[in-house]
Amino acid sequence: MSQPRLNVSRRDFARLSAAGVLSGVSVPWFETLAQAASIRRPRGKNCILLWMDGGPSQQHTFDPKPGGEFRSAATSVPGIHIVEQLPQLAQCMNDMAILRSMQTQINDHYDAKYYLHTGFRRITGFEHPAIGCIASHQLGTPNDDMPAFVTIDAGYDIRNDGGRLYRSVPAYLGPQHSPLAVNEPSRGLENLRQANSDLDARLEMLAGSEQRFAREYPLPAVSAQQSAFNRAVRLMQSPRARAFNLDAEPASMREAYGSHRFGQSCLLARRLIEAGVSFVEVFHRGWDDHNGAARNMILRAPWLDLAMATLIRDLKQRGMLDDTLIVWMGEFGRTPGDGNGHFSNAWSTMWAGGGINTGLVVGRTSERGRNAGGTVTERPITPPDYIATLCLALGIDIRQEFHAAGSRPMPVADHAAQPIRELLR
Amino acid sequence: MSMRRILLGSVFLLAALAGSKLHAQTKDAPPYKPAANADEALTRIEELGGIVRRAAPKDDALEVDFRNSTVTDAHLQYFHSLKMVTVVRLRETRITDAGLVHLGKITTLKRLHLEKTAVTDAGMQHLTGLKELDFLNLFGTAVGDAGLDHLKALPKLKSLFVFETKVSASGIAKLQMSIPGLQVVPDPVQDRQRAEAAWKLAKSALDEAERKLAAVKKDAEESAPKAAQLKRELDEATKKSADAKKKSDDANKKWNDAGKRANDLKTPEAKQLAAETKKMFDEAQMAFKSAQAASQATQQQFQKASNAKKLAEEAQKHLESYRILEEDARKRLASFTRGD
Amino acid sequence: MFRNLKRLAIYAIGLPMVFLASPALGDGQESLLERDVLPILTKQCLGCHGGLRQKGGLDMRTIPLMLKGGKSGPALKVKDASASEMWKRIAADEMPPGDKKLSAAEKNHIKQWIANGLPTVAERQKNDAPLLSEKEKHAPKEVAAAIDQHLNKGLASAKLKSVPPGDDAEFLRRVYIDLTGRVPTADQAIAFLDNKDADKRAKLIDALLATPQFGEQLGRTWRDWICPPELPSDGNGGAQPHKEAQNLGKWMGERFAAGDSWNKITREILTVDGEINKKPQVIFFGLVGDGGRLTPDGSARAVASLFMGVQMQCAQCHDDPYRDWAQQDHWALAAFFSKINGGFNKVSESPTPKNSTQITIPKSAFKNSGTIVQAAFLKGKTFNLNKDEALRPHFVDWLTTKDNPYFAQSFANRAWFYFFARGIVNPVDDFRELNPPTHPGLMKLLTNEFAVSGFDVKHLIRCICNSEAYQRTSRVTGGTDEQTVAALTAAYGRMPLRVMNADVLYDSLKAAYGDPKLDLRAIDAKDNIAGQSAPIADAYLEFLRRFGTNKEDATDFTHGIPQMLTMINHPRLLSGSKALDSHRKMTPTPSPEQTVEWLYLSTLSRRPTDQEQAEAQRYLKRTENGYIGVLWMLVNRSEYLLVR
Repeated sequence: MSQPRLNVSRRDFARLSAAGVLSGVSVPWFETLAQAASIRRPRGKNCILLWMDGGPSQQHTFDPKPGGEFRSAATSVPGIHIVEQLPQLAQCMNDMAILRSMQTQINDHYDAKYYLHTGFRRITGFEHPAIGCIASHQLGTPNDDMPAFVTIDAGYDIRNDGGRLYRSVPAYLGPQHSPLAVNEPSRGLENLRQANSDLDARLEMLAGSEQRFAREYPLPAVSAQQSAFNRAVRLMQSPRARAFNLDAEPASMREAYGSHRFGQSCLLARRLIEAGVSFVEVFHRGWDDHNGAARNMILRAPWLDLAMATLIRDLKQRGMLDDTLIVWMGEFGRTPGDGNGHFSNAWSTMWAGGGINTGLVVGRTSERGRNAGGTVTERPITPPDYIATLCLALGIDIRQEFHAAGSRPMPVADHAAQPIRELLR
Repeated sequence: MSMRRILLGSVFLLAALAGSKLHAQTKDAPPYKPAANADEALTRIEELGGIVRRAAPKDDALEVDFRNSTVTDAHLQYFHSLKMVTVVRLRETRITDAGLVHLGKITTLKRLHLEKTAVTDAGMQHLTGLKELDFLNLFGTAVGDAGLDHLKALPKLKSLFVFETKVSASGIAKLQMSIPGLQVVPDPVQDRQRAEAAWKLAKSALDEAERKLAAVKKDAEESAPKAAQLKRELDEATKKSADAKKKSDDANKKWNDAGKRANDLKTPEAKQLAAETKKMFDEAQMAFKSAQAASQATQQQFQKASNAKKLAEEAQKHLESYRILEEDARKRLASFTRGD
Repeated sequence: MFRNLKRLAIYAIGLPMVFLASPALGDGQESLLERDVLPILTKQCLGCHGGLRQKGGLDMRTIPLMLKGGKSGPALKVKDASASEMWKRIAADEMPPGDKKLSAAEKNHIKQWIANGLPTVAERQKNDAPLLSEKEKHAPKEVAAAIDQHLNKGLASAKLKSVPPGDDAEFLRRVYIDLTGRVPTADQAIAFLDNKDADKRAKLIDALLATPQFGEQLGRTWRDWICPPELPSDGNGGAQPHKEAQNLGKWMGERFAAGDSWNKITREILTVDGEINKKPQVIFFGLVGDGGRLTPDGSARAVASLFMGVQMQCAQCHDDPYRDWAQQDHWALAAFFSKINGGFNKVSESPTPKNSTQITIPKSAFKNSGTIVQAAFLKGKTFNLNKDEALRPHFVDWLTTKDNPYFAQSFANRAWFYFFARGIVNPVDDFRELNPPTHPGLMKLLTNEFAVSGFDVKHLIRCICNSEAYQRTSRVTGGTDEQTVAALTAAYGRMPLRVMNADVLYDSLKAAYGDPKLDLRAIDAKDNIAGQSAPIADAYLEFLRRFGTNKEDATDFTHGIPQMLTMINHPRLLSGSKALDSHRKMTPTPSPEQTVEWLYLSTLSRRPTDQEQAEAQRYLKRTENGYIGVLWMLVNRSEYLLVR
């Protein structure tokens, strides 16, 4: 429950700290910057999170083992090998970093999804904000035409569902940081298109009463409602909202990403980031391969390889890769060998671009023995480490604290987190 | 809640109501007014829809982001009042070569985004004073080799983006000779090499998959006729095993009875009988175990034979994936040969 | 909820304003502990010198603890700042360590406070007695008048002038929303607005309290207080007990509608034993537990917050850094709930053997795990059994007695919070010595009246709704500055403007469109249900998720683009209203003006002004969409989404 306070919206304070750094100051500006050191505005970074729901196998992607089901192949970075089923991605290795030492403890789908999205274990009666919502709060431009956080459902191929889908919850950051959902990439944003033709006439009828009401009730709730309404209308009318429409993309580019729904989702993500969205989460479902990872992975490889390699190259040629972090992951990996089971003890994720150090591998898993890859032998990465690193890579200050219900101070990332320094420039 | 925000709310509503006229309105930027100091310059930049950030966390250097703003050439004069600007983003704004005159004076500039603007070759000459510049994005502009020629004067340039411009491969090569270590994106030479490497990998995987398919197919063909024979053998072995089990169970029962009797009577004869029945049970049990093992082995052979067909089908399906991988890689490689 | 790191700063500036209108606090010049000093201590000192850490052996949570001091001796010397260790260190900027020092104004508060002999709000307010006797139940109008007297005293002492009463339309819509959870229909609105009875407001309150919707609305309000929209679930698959949670709300609603007393309802929830298909309240312990398991600490936390008005969550793992709760207090309470078993579907408690009412602090607590704690009533005596018995009934016996210090005031304060968007003690679950009520006399009055009426929920609500305070307008007189508006609202001299919560909005939209199954889910999602799209929950859950509001502050408008886009563009909201159709069928040859008036009455519960009528008519002439466009405009009005 909140503390006693004025009828002053807390969001104004959030806004002051986010945007007020540089506006309306009357002291010499260098001094202002010095004073504002603790609330500095993050750099203009963005993130595309590619979420493989159900838990993708590390040994069938980025951490192949000798004698494993998939052969390993050289990449464009000498000494780094991934599976041969991702040939184009292998040639993007210079722009990628593989994190092979994820050690995340939870083998249950839903709790693991929560842990890997928030950096905190799930507990009852309290909610932690998801990384996308944190990014919306920290990186988004308040009152921008475009939303800060969008999720895209890339569907599934094989119905190996890993339980309930995690929904990004903003918790104490406020519902304005909830994601906007694209349920079907080829159709764009829900309710974005006018349902009827006479919007202008309706808006005109609405305008007079709204202005009178705002004069009669010059109160925060009214101006907040009107400004949210106006943002929505502006988004509908903004040329930038065309970013939601894949048909506006040249056919050659649509083809380059592959006709698969995942490829089209990646293309949509690129368009959205280009139009000013800060965080896009694409989720593809059905990766819970209890019937063997190899047979399903080879079916996924063509569209996965093409879409991700094209995404990396496309961002790069537009000069956006440095500012856009791509993260590929699931809630855990799969058991060494055939990948039939859930495995949180030693698994891989892949990051690309974002101005981090790339062309490298972080961490290592065991190479030999009957259970090769069963343990982390170098630099275990916990979910708090992971989220903290992700925040830092996006320019978010991890030491800042929010206050959640009950005067409970909540840091952006757990205090125990040890960011992965080797990734950060 | 400040009154200012409430007023803003109404303004937005009015703007929204103008419907399609909205963009015409927002595109009308406030005219350039000289800024007396840094503060004023910052305020004006924000009025235009620009955003000012720190370029790096522990640094006083600033990044000015004009994306989606109404900035025009004249407004770039605000940079004269700002110090330590190292990053300027002007993507998809209405600036032209005329604006580059002002940008050319930001000697601290390290990173400049001009993508999708109207700048041309002529404008590049204004950038020659940017001795710290290490990142220049010209994607989607009309700049060509002539413009690139001016960039020779940028000793620290490391990343140059010329996707969808008029720049040619030879123009790139020429500039790279002048600035060692310069990475140009796209880099046709490197990209082609990588496309080739990807294709080789995909091809080798495809070949391997074909070999595997051939092997399982052969297996399947060979084991198909065997399967029927194996089935008969399996039935027989199963029956044998069942018989042996029955014998073993009988022997066990006899031994149990004899043992009980020996315990009750405690006579040497009874003890002798018990020992004999024990021996018979041991033998029967051993026979059962070996019959069972034989039956299991046959079972496995049979399974393998009948699975071979399924495996071949699956391998065929998987081969399709390898084909697509190879085809995509080949298409990409071909695009370089065509000179796309 | 939506606080940034600045929340403590808000605390610091919010508190004085809230107490501005507190009776008996005078002109606000004097530095008082809770109002002026505690916000500074909370922000700057208690992190290191509080319940969590006691650097230098010093705990500053209460005056006695400060007088006791730490290794350097007492922190305070009464009436002598310069001899007080605390002041000396603060004055020299030795404390707090680090970059952020106290401002001159903050320092002045501390110095004055010490010099004036450590005055507190509680001390200044101790003579603010309730205006009615605690011995008997009073008539609702008598109680309402007493409520207003209490508030007027506060307004006068803060030199504030309350706003005029709201007009009939404002009252009508507000009371329908608050007591039945939806806006009135046009017929209901007309019946009230055209009624000439001088006592029609009181009569309407009585009538609405007698409807089943009253119970339904209060029941789902309690459901929302008990659990968030995203429910706990069992680990792997993550199935959430949504239906069960909704049934809990319905069950509570039926109890409220039937007029059951709060102590009876409380007992039925907290001592429940059995299966969920017979007793919907079984889900309570599952909802407040952990992943479907019943946990003593989860139960204790929820019981403390919901039925006692105290926050125990910090004390679960360590002594509360800001409040005077020890970890022991939390676990002594948890001990009462440590012998129950079950999950989402059933709850059972076998008798506890005598003399074994202890609990061991588990490993998950990061301090004192392994310590054995004896069950005890909060800040009261320890409890033991002298024969084998279930534990919970003993706890509820203690909790629901008339004189229990927590039970009645907790509910009364929540009821007040429900109507006025702020508790007399705020946050509503943070009753403690150093967080005093803004109106102590009023708090006691409501507590007494509720207890002496036998915890009669309807009686309490009837009393509040009949007060002038509840019936004041939310309109702001032109030219009133922001500070005065805030002060006036904090002093209940004006009704706050609130945001309709999801349930109220949904039911109101259903009525406006005459569609009890109104479905505002994504069209894409529905088309694709058999194909490859995300699992979308039922229409009601999706609506609740999308249009959820700030539960801690009903004045906070938090909807953003997704909510607005739904209202603006969802095809359903432009595809016809059965309510409108049947109205037009029933009314012989209605004029366009009459139809527009009917639409205004069924959404904004008032008739349109001439200007509004003209605007609507102009629109109707321009477009083929007709009346549905007018209805769209009305439900998209900020006036519609807000509760005036």
